Amino acid sequence: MDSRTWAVILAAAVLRLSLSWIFPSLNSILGQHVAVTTSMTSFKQLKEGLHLYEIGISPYHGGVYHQAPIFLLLFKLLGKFGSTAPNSLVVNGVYIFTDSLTSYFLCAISKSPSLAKTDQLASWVIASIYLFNPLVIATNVARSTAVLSNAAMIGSIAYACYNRNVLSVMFLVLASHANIYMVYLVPPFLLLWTSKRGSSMASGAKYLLLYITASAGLASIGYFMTGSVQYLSATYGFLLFFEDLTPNMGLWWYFFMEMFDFFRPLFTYIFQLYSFIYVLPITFRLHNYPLIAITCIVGITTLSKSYPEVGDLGVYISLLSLFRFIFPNVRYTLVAVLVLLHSLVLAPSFYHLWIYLGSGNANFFYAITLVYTIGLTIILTETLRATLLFEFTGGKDPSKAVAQI
Amino acid sequence: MILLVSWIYTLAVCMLAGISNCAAASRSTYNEHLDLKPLPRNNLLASFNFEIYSDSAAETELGNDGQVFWAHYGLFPRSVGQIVQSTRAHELHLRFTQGWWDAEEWGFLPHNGKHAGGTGVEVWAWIAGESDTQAESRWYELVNALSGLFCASLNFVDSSRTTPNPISFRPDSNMRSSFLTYPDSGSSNSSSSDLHLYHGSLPRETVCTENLTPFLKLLPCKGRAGISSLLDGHRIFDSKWQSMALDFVPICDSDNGCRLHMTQKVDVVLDVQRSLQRQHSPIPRPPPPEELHCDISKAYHSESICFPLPNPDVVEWKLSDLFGLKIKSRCQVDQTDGNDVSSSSVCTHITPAWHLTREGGTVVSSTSSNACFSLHESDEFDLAFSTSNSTSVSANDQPPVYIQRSMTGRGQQYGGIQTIIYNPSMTDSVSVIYLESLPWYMKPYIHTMVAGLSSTSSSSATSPSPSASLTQEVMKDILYRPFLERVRGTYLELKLEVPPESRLTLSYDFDKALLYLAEYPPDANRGFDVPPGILTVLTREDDGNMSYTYALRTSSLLLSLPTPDFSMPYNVIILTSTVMALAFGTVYNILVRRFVYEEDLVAQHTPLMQKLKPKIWERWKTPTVSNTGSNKEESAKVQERADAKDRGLKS
Repeated sequence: MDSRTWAVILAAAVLRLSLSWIFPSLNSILGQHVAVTTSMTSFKQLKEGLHLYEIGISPYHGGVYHQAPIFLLLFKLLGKFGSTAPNSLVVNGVYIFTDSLTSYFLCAISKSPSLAKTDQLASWVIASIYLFNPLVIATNVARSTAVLSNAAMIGSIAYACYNRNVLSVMFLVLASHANIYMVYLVPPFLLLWTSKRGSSMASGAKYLLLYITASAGLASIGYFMTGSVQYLSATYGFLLFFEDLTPNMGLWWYFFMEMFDFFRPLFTYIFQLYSFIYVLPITFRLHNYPLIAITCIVGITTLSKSYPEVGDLGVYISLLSLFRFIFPNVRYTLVAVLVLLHSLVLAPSFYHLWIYLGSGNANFFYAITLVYTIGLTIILTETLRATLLFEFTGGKDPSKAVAQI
Repeated sequence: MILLVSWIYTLAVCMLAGISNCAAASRSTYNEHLDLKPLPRNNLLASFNFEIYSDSAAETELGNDGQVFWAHYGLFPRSVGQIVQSTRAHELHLRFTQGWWDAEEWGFLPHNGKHAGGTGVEVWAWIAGESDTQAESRWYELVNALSGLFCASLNFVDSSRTTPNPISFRPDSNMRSSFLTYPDSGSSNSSSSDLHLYHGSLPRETVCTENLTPFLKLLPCKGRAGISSLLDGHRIFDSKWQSMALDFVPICDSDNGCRLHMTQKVDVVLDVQRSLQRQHSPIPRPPPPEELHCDISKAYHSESICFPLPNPDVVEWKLSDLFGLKIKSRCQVDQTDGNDVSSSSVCTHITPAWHLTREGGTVVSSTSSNACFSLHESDEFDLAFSTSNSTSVSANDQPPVYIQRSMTGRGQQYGGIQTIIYNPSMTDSVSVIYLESLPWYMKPYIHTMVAGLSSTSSSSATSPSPSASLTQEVMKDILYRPFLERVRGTYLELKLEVPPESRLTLSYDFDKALLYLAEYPPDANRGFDVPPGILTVLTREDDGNMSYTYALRTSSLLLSLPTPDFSMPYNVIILTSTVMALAFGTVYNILVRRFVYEEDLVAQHTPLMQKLKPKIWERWKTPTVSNTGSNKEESAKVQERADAKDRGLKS
């Protein structure tokens, strides 16, 4: 960590603080924007859940709050230090610290033994790709709780890279407690945890067992907090069975809105299976590059999870920035960037046309989510292809023509 | 069947034993009463009141299945009696309301708002049941039966439109001395603890003639005689405000035992001018110039320019002009022993500026402000009103509170609700209960609820300043049950204390949900109706208990939800699936294939057929060429083919 990186982190912190203090309404505007927050990450719903929890009504009793119980504990604790309004000092502090920590973790990963021997971007570049990404800033200012779960996930990668496997397991437990889709990261993480020379299958099983035990322990907090297991269906059930049709950048909402009642359960299973079906093949195929496998699975869930948000794309791009060595093999960069920019610019406008002006309809926003998904698909497939090509050529510039069979 | 057999049996026993034995304690009676009260701006409030008592409860019998049924309903409508008894409803209240009560002009609601419902249909009942689930299933049974009886969509009152046990309602009867002792309820004296209150409302329901007809069919004269003969759907539903109420409240006293008791009320505010015009010219056409009432104080008033005055002061009309027909005769209900057990009367509440002329009937009492008439058995009855000053109406008391509810915000993603409760009293603060039941697709944030208080007295005019501490101060109690998607709506009940001469502003945010395609009604863009909020005014009695003295409703709200494109299901399924298949295909295409150098591909991995094909081709074409011939040429061709294949892959 050089002084330049610290300067970037400081500048990003000042930017976030000033955004939230100069434009106080920005928190609620972004916090209620469908592309930036979903009912799994909304800060307003977190506040509602916290309010209900404090007045003695189980927040999971109704359909208001769907986030993990640990956020209730965290923000109840924060409430002791001051107001938990979205632009208060305490909340600003927590969110800015978390984002800075995430960028610190990213820099640490790039300096880790396994990556350091490859071609790497400078630390300050990696930190700025994360911290000055408009998607990440928007997610932070919107006070989406995904900021916290993504930080835990990246922290988990960082600790695994430095062979602090138990800590890594704990961070992953936190991340997957807040966002159940992070369970999909366990297979590639097992590769990472057992990558140290001399590790065996037994050590992998040990970490898996630790992961399961710790997850169960964390899950039981919810039981002790609310006195029932109702929260499981209100959080994970809500996510798995897709009960909230509020628009988001994903494929689910419009599909299930228009789907015939009779087929809805079938397609719920198919969609959930769809998001899982990539996990093991990618893990197996990229077993030499567990970090890239993790990144690709993060990309897959960004595309296929039930309540996606644009902040996930920001994290995905930041993770990709760690693998400079595959960049020469990536094609269609311009196409992918333009497609994603196109969708990210048009998504809020088309949503506005539909919801506020009434001059567009739901199809406008829906079409943009399809374009967004296609943009993600291009990035994803090109990352995979570039990695496999790198593996094949060994990093040498292929002078000979290469084919896939 | 059992019911019918035992009814016939009971009837036969009664006939044999002599009628006097069967009329043991008290006989069923029927009273009807009409109140007429002119309101400002040439409106008329007509309150029809019908009261039916059954025979006393000495005649209840137990069926084989332990079911209680009434042997002698007397005048009491059997259809209602059987429904409430089979569903164990101890009290039933049903309201059909349309229009808006202008409290600032018209003052108190008739009967202190006790019999006025919110827009649409409202129903609530106390139902006996050993458990919530049993009582709830009886409740759905009840609303379904009522739906058939009154031709209303009450069968749409499901769990998402039902509010269980709100504290805004109290039973009218004394439940402890309950008239129905159910053998299956465990004790002979069913206490109110196993009674469950359910409230349901359908704000979208249009109240119309089809509801009025079955409503009148319950009366002994079925609307053919008595004051109910005035109730013509064309006139009633052409009013500014109308409310039909049915209250089934059993009455018990120690002497006579219990009797079934039902009150039916129809309250109508008629626009007199409009009704008269309809009488004179059913097809609307402009009045001739000489009939125009012009405002001559206008500067531009001339022979050819007229600013019409809406409400002429000099009016003269008859009941038959307003309702289209005269009261036919008294509703005479003779019991089997020939005694008339009914009474019919018409009362007016007027000021001395009004002059009354009656046709038929008898004057019962007459003062300067009140005149009551009793109807004759065979005469038609009509009443003519005339005055030279129609603005002179009997004083309306100021209601204890005013309430107004509106939606704030724009767009279809989220919004807010603002409720203003105004206490006009100079001296007394008023304590109220405010009930709000919201549909589940309206997702309120209770933590955003703030109260603002602004004084209306001129000396200390302050702007409403919502604050958390004030919210604590005015809210004595909050009862809240959050919504659950597709299962139940939000239930919110607040106990509030409004200081004198001040406006209490309550506001909170909510999100609007998207629904499944099939859940949208046919005219989805019209919006969704939100049931009216119910405000109940509490007054402290001398003995320290709070009594419910006044009730009023807000208007219903129209909530516009975002809508999908209703013509798109197949397109959406196809397009989404295509994008998903595209991602799946490309990813798996990369994952399952491996990289090779093209030269290796030519050397080693050319499939057998591809190796053989050119050879066979060559041989067939030029059979004389030897095998060992153009080896170099051949490999070049294979290379070319492989390149083409690779290009195809890449594109």
